[in-house]
Amino acid sequence: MSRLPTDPAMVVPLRPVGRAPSGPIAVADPRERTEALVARARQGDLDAWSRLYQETFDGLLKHVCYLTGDAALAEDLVQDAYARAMTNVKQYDGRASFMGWLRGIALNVVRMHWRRSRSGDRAADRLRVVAEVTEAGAAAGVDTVHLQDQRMRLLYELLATLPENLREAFVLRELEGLSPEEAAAQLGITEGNLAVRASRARARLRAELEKLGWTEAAT
Amino acid sequence: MSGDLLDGLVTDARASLERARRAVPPDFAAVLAKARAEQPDLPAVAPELDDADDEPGAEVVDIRQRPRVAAGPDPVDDLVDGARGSIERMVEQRRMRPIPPMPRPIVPRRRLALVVGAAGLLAAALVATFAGVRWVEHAQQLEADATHAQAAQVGQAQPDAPADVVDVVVEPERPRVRASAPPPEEEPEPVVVPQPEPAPERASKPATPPDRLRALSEQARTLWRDGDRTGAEAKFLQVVNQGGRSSLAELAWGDLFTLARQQGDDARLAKRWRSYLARFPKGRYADDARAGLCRRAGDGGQCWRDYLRDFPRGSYRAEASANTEGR
Repeated sequence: MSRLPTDPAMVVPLRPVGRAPSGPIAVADPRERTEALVARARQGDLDAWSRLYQETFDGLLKHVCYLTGDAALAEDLVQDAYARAMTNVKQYDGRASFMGWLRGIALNVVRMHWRRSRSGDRAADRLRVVAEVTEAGAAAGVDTVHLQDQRMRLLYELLATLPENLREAFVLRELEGLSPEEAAAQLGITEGNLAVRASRARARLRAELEKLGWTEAAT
Repeated sequence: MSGDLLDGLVTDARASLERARRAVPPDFAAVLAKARAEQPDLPAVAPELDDADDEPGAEVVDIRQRPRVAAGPDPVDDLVDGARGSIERMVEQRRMRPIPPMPRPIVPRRRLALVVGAAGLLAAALVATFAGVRWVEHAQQLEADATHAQAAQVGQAQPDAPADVVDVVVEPERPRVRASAPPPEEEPEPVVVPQPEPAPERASKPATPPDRLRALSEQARTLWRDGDRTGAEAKFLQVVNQGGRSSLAELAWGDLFTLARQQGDDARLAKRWRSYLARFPKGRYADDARAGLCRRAGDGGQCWRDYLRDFPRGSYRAEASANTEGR
């Protein structure tokens, strides 16, 4: 798994974290509360950032987990996404939700990772995973959790063969289960386009599975 | 093919999501340690994708109406549901651990270069001006400084050095001892979560010259960047062992937390939090470390009560209150 480099020279000093907030955020409505925090974050208030970080971390991590299928990698990429968000927060114009904006940044970070880690066709890997999954499925009393993990491995091996645009559409819509509106908005495409991409992704995955003999193995 | 199995998996996934939703928010753990990356020239939002698929006549399938089951078994569904179950479980497991330190923002390289360049120019201009007016006096002063620095170095190595020189060094380096029996770089002993007592004055000073600590930190980060986490960890441990309560040592603690977290070693992470708290009971990471330890405490909320007492305005006070109410 490739990791991103850490470059301590490229950071700016911040005030220590974990200190008392510079001002209370006593807004009941979650959206208003987030807006108030974002407004403070835009002015460089690290306490506001720390609250936003705490409140959004799990959601963003889940999103990136779905995109990568790897929790440890997702954690690293999410960190990068926050670092970029902190640098670019002044560009956030409030038209989309803050979480939506963060997800967009995270998606860009994931795309960069995909491009860096592109390593050609790995048909042999896929065949091996199929064999393992088939074997696991045939074993008596196999642990469901183990089986799920094996299937996940296979699915992400296959997803890695898809073009980025198809992969994203499939993950957001079919795997993560976003609504068509949400998924299309995040990708900046129309719902119709999203449907096409997700459908094509599915067709390619199915074809690849058949090529690998998965259908027979699974039935 | 697997309709029943899929139903079961989907139900499990929903239950996992519900549990995850009810869980207390994660902590904003440890620190500002990690800053990665080359300067991204990333747009702030996802760029517009190409619309190659929007060409006229392209097949549009409304996946909301796609008859998944009626169309017959689709092996992709099987994989999707398996993957979904795994990822939800993965995310839930992750939620049980503290969240990693918040990263620092990345400074664009160009901006950094401009700042450094401007500072360099300013410094050069000041030096030139000063040197032009009083170069002789300046040279004499430099010479005097050099002599003084040399005396200070001698003072560190000699026990009978003048008091004002020796006093700078809290735990004098023991090069001869190290040369004969080099001690392994061990992690500091774990300690119980300390009460916030003021540390002894002498302990607050670095044991090693800042330049050396800085060099060690830099080496550690280089190793880390190159993927050598073990090597980086060893260097950071040197920094914390030799740096006393200096800010460089404290920053190295943050990196050690991150490394332990990256390696998924919860026990080591907790041990490091305790060691850190022993040295920095009110340090920049203390809030996070205390909260992380309280999550593992299992002491009926006593740890969280102590947390609230010591950090009444801490970042985790809401979680602490939730864990102490009704107990």
